[in-house]
Amino acid sequence: MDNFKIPKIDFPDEDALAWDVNKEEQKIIKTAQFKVSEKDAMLAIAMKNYWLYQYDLKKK
Amino acid sequence: MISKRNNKYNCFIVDYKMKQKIIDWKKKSRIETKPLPGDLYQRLLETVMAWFQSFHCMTVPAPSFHTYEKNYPIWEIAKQISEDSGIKLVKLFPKKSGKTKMHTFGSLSKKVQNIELKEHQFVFILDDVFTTGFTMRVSCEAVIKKNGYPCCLTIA
Repeated sequence: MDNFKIPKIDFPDEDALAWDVNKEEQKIIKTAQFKVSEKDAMLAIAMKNYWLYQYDLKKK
Repeated sequence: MISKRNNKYNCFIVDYKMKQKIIDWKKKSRIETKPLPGDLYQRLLETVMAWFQSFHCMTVPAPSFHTYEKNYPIWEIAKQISEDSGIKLVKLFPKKSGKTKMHTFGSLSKKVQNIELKEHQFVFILDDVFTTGFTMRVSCEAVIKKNGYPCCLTIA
């Protein structure tokens, strides 16, 4: 958590938003630079909620 | 095992079958907040410990007609959960949401409040009942607008 970096992510397709813990894990490792264990899965989901909002803004 | 609800944002429910039990508890808590039934509190605490312990802080949605100081049932539960889990509890939504019956029918929207929150905080939002999901939606958006990362859990 101390090494947390500001997430920057593009949304290449709708599929990227599909619910999949493994995908969340990949995304969060790539953007936030910390390993997501099962214990921390909700952090990935919290970040996904942030992405959903940003995704909607992009669509508008 | 918790269940998931999507209302734009991802929300989770400890046990949707307990809805009536929670509604009964809310009714009894109108004058003075009563403790949650022991089994339900235990399940809530276990869920929080298993899934939400890495969050920077926890909060509850804006009170509709209660005040934090006087008998806001979910705030009282959150205080106990915070004490037992060690997750920091913060009052993020200082203004009342001004809920009316019309909210249920979606004809009067709660506002997304402008809150004070440091950037890049993971915020765990706890509520008692998931109905339309609108409360969680405006709570999530308030956090996101401050570049925070919210995740919600309701008891039922």
